[in-house]
Amino acid sequence: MLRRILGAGLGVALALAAAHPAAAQDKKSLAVGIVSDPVTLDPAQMASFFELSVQYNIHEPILHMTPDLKIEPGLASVETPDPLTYAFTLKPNLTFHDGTPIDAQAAKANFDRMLDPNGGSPRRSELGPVDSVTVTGPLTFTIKLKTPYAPFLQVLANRAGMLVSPAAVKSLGADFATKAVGAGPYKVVSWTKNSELVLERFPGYWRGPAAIERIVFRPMADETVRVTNLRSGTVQLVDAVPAQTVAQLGRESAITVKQTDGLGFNAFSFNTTRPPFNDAKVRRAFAMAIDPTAVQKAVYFGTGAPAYGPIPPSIGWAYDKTAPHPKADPQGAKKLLAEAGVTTPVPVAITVTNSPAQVRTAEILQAMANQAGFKAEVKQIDATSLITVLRQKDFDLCMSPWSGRSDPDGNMFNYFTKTGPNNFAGYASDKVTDLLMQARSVAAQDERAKLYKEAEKQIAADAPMLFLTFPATIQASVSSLDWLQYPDGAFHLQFAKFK
Amino acid sequence: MGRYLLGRLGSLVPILLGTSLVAFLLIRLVPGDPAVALLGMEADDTALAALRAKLALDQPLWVQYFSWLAAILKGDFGRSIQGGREVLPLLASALGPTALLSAAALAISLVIAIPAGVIAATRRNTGADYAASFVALCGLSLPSFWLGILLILLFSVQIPLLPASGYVSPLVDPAGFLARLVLPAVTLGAALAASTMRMTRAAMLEVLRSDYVRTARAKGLAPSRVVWRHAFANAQIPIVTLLGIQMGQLLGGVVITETVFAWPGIGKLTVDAIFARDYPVVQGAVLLTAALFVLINLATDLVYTVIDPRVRVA
Repeated sequence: MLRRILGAGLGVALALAAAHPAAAQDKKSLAVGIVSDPVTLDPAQMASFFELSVQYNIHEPILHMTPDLKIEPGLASVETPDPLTYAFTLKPNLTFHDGTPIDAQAAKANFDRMLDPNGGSPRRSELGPVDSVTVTGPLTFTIKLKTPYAPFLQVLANRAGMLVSPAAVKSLGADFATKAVGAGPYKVVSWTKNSELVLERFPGYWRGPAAIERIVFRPMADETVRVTNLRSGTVQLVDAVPAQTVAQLGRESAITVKQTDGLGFNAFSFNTTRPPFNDAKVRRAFAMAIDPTAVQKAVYFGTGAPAYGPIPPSIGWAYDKTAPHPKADPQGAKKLLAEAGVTTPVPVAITVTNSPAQVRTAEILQAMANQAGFKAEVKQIDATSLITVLRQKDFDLCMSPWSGRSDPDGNMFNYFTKTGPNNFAGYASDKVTDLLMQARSVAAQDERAKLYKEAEKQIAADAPMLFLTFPATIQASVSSLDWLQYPDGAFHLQFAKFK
Repeated sequence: MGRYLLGRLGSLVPILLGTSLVAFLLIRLVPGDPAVALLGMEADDTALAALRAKLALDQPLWVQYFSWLAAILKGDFGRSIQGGREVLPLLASALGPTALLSAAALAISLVIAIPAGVIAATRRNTGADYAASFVALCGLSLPSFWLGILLILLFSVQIPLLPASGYVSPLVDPAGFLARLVLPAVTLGAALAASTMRMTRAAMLEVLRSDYVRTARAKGLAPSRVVWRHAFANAQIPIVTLLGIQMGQLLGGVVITETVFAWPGIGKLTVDAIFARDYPVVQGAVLLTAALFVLINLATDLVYTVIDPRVRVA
């Protein structure tokens, strides 16, 4: 009896295997392993890092940013007669996925929606200095700013510039978040939570129809699972490849690993509003005790770059190549602590989320700090608690990593100006606030670079944050897939095709 | 019987009220709220306040609780804060895959555990017993994330027989569904089989020592008939109890297996909702799980009356 059951079971398994060759590959369809389901497909409401993987496939910003961070026309081209005026001209005869024409009225409706104070859109603060949006013709509109805002075009090449169909917003209501109707290369077919987001190419896309017909995004939270699914051919492209597998994957001929400098940083905020870190000497002593290179080696396996400030090497024009990269100096740190007149060892708590990489980072900081006159303990919390802990300043030293933006303003303004929403350190420097305000309002790039370098110097001296790493963006695909990697890790699959 | 059923089902009401209140309060005790979780690092205070007002999180707690309860009585479980899906269809769409996976895992565990447990008991302290116990110990000790990845490496990467992960509805593609079901069901079934096998062995040992088994043997009945008809029939009650508990736990979600195999079940949905402080989803999921637990317990009690005529429901 048992033998018969086993025999039947094996038969079924073999039949299934024959019906479903696991590595079936056709050139019309692409499955992508991503870290997490997006929260929403509505660009006006997106606030999580995870939407980055899918957003540019469904939505098209009015301007496009190339992988080397240059701005070029997208749905529209732009002219800037003066630093406060941006005149846009939309491409003619384009429609959204639902056939609604893309015209100046539709663009204005989108900006009005994002700027609505009751809409709760995170885009409102990104569009900060926008004063008015005026329709000047069927395909032309003008955005006026209250104050000059150098990163404005970069912002419009991201979520704040993505246009959606105003007709669909009205007709879908609350369901718009899951059904999203945009103007990107692919339209949404179906979305099953935690299972798959299915997209189909949009024939009316302004660059012409994409090469791959169908894309399926599949959330796989575990990094090992993502890599295993790539190796089995269940997916052909994966996001966020763990650094420790790069070397091994690189040896597999069927797989291509791509790495590029990211835009963000992994850093910790000192709580400058309470002892012990209200004293700049104590902060500098802690920073002096730490060697970012050690963290980069142990946690990031040598990928990415050690960080000594908030601007990563990927933003070449503003990155300070000449900034000093000091080695850890526990004796110097002890001397500074003595100067500060605190009793050693100084007890401090290091707060991190409970992800393996962050815990490992915290343990390295703990070991190094303990050799330099500190007595550090590691506190683990979950990711949502982290934001609350940071905002309530309920920490001594707390991780505050940033996914990064293509303009230095996006990596600095919110973190280091006195009232910036990400100024978790409670850092109050008039000089840095002024510098960052100025850097935002002048247009010339070399002048801005000078201002950012000066601000970075002051920040290094005041040490409101401890910078550790600029993580690299690491992604992988089957070798037969040809695709473009972007520094922020976003997929733009209109440019992908099977060889 | 009818009265008994009504009474048992009636007990659902206070249980669900109790769990709903506990779920409501506990998730609000955790630091952070849905607005912070949704808007993330960049949010400024005005955006947070606007969102809190939109979600009615600025209302007093009791107002929030009773308006939620009142809506549920009308069949409206609200919408997820993360993404705005309606909670009830969201839970239903996740419960289906979990229920199918659970049923398959239990079936696999029974096919392994019952024969193994019976053999271990009838050949107590022999090589077969030790072997079965050793394998059971391994099944209990293997973490499912490890076993799962191992199975994927073996059957999807080395010998590409089965898809490494994913889910399709059995209504859409039955063969594809079964192919994707095999690995997670085996992963989960292995751990379940271990405890069921131990329970079967213990229950059988108990029964095999009883007088009527000795009598049956003394009458000269065939050993297989003694074991299966006389002994096993009477060893089923503790096994069914264990199965009931296992089924309840499985339906509450099998987070790790669901995560490893990207199986869109209710466990991952609930855990994600807790991390995101998605109050309506967490509360709905807790209510649903509690109701299922009560119903499965009831079903277990009813099964007792079938397998043991001495058990009566009043």
